[in-house]
Amino acid sequence: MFKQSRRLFLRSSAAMGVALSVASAAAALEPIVIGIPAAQSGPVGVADHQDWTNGAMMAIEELNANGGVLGRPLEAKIIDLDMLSPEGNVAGFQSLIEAGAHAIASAFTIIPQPAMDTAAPSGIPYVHGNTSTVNVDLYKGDPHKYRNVFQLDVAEKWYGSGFVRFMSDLKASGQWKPKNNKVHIVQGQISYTQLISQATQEAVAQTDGEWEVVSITDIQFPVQDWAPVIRALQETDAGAIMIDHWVAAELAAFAQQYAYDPVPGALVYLQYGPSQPEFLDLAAGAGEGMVWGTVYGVYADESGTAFREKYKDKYPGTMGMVYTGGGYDAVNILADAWESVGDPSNFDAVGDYIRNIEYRGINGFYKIDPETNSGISYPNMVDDPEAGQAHLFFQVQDDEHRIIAPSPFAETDFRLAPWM
Amino acid sequence: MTVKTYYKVRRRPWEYKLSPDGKVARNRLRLPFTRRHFLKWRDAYNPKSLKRERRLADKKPLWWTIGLLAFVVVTPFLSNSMISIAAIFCIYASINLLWTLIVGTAGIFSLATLAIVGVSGYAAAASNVFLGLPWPFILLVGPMVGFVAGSILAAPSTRLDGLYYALLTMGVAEICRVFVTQLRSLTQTNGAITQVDSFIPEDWFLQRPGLLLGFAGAFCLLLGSLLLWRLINSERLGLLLRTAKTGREDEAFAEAVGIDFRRARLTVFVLSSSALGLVGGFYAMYFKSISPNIFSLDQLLLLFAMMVIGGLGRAEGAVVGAAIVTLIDKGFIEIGPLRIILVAAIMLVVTIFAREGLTGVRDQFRDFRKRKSGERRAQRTEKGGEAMPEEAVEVHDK
Amino acid sequence: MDLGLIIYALNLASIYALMAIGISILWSSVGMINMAHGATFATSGYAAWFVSGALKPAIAATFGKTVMASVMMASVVMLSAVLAGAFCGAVIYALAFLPIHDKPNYSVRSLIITLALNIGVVQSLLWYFGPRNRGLPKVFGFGRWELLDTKIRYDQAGTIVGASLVMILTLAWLRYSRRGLEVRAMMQNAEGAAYSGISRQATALPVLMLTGALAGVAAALLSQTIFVSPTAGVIPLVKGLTIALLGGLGSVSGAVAAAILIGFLEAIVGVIPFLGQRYVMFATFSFIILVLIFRPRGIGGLLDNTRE
Repeated sequence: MFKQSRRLFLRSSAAMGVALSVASAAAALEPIVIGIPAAQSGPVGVADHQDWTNGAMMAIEELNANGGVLGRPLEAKIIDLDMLSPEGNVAGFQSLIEAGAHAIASAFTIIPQPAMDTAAPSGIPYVHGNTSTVNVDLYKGDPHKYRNVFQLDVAEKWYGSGFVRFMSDLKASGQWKPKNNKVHIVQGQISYTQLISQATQEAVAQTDGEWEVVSITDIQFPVQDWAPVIRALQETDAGAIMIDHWVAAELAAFAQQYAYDPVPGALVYLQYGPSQPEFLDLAAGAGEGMVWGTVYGVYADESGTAFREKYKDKYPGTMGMVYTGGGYDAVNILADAWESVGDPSNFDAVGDYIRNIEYRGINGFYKIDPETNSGISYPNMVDDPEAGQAHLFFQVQDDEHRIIAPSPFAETDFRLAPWM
Repeated sequence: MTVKTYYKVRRRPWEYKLSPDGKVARNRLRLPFTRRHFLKWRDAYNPKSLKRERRLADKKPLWWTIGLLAFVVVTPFLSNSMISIAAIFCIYASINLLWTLIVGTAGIFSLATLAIVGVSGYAAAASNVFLGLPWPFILLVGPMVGFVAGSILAAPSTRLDGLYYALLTMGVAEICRVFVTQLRSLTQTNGAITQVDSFIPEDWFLQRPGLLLGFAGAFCLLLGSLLLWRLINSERLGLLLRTAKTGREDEAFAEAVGIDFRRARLTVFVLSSSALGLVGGFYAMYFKSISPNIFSLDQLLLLFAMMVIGGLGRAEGAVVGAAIVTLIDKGFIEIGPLRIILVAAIMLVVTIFAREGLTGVRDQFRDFRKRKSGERRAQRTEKGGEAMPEEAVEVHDK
Repeated sequence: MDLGLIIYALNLASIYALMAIGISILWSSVGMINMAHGATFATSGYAAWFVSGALKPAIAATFGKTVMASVMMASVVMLSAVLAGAFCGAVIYALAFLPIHDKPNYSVRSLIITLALNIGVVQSLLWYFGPRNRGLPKVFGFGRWELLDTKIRYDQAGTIVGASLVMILTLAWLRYSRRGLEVRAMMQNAEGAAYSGISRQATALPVLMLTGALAGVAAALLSQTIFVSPTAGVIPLVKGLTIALLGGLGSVSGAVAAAILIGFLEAIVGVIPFLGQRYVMFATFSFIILVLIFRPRGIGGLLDNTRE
């Protein structure tokens, strides 16, 4: 358990501040400021933003320990973002830009337009993991204005086709024999989950009957009790179940109730929510055998494992699997850009560098797609495993997240869940 | 032998007084088309010096002018983020003023204020984005929708009282929120309508000139709300409502003298709702977008906190409270959740100690002083407390 | 409608009723709308989590894996939640009742103070414990019974039975004890009670502690199904308030009736295919508005019975 995470985090960041001020006094150089708008008091997303901040702080500490960037120390400026309202987004981003941030690294915001509109005029490099189509559409509407707004991962719609591909691959490999071709989707109501559901339905329709969406159940955050959903699941009796929802605690509650009332033989796939640290702790073993995926997850290869160990040393307890690596990579990409451009205040030069970047981080290979100003996903968009960020599929095995697909990055094989 | 203490008897020696020529007849400016004067000057002869003295009996207009002038002069020199905070403050203060009209003047405990803002904002934004109406029409559609929404919501207010009506309006706000988030055509943007046309040109949006223009608009909005407040409260409508203000007996009295106070309440409600509709349209234009967050309980509670800290039912309370809370909430985002705790703490302390918010502190202090001086006077009287005023008696544990 | 749905509806209803009764009793006797009920709920949940976490090794060491151990665990969870709830009630008494109960604008000011407490406590919990949810030990254990072809989860059954038991105890206390008599006297006529020598100050404290404890019980029971988090109290508070009002403030039986109605309404709307879970809130509030239009004082409140 990662007890009293916030205090630990505050303490460590306070210590950081002290260390930084000492370092900068010694170097007598202006620090390079990275603005991190993180939701700390809102009703949603606080855990993800905490992950992102932790990862970013880790990268900053490492870089500073190695003498900083261009001989200047890095400094994080963290503010509390109200990401649900336009005025909250505007106020947050404006204050960062005015505080003299040289770049903004943000996990995500729920309504991207005000945030992007605030960042765009100043030309400040703004890297984020929004995972949303809205960004891409906005960028396509005015590529010049939003030239320095980079979505490091891909739009959420790739979750849909990726999931269908995963099912077909798993079936083809013989590791799983589905009892029927039915897919049951349980969908949340926000844009993210809705778009994923739509994309899944489209991808299923293209499989020519290999799969078939037979039932869609709507749920509304907050879900107090999953009993009605589980009843619906049992009535449908589908071979594959997709829980298209993103709140880790509620998914854990689902896991607990489902584990004692399962649909026999069904593959259960959860949206990226289990990546948040609390899922395993709360599910208390009930998550065993459940599959979940993310287009932006921490790899388990050599560098990924090293990162995981370092992270666990610094922030003991269960680790978040998505935005921890995201924050870490984002800061490193920015540092690379500054190192080669030489002047962090030259926003467009930094932007140009990131636009043409080829960087292998712990969440995969970063290359910006000029069409969308966002990342590239393997195997959804490219066939070369090292040409994009892998759409990772995890399974909870022995109370741990283990990557089971795509094959180049798999740690282990798919294992039948207790109810299968 | 007791020592006698003498107390000086004189009135406000520190106050600055004009000394006009006593021989010239007074000539006072009036508001055009009315019999009202601009300021409340009062003349009196000083009995000792036999000179004519003139003083301002009601200094509030003076403070308002100084405060608003200082605000509008200083703001353009501040940083970009401070200008946006100033504009947000103007919007919130306008909403609060109109809400105060509904809660304070009309005495209808409505929680649907933001719902009306939201509904009109959404309707206005939709008319622009989906029907292609040019932006000046937003300022027309907003109030029209606000008028309709207000008329519908006003209907049950005469039948339900107090808390039950509050519950009903809270339900309406929640229904609006769910409805908007369920709209499939808005799913992409999580229920928000974005890319609304605005009086701020596209190229200026969120840049210095655009921010200044936006601030100017928001300030005009605030002035408009203040004007509406003033018009309703100091004219016939306000008078009628004050007759039936405090309780059942007053209502009965008002009815007995032939005042249709229900009708007056509904009128104020609908007027304020139309104005709230205008605010909604302005909000959608100012941010070029509007999100379902406007219907959320959190946002409503934040506005409520503003009114409460400033003082419920007073114009200056609504504005001062909005200033304090907006500054803390939007200006101190670096300190994270602590700022919300700070707002809660201010709210707590103010409410425990002040009976009518910060702006009521002065009156409360005067009452306190009056009571204390009454108590002292009572102790001084040789006859044993005849002059003791009633307020000096506190019934312990009623 | 089958048994499973009825169980689900009763499960919802019992949690709502626990919250609503507290709010209703408090309003009619002390004249306070307690907006801090949600904070009490969340605090009790955290207290139960903290205490049970701290005592877990001791219990495991003393009783091992026996039935006694789970009984002990259950009582620790319940007791800590109830005590924390009562403590919160005492804090509300000290801040929102004692300083202002004889001052002007008492009812509005107490509402504001409790609201401020609610906001402050929720944010403090978030700040201190972090955003992560916490799981309480499952005092009813995992699993389900099969009854007439329907599966009933232990936690559902436990919640329904536990909540009913607590409510019966509360009503019995109100009915048969001396204090209860005083509280009922205040509920019926505050002035009359004062004339007959019932001290408002002395009665308000037990009432606040009792209603706080009820919120604590609700927190411990609901946390068997979902988890403890800083914002966990928001939904129960809103539901409790609306149901207390729907039932007619001050009418305990009205509150229970309203809770059962809303519980069933939510359960039924949730399974109607074209409505589903996403229209539950929509339907609830539409129903409440409809009721209020026809019965302006809620279900139970006859015009003269409720407090003005």
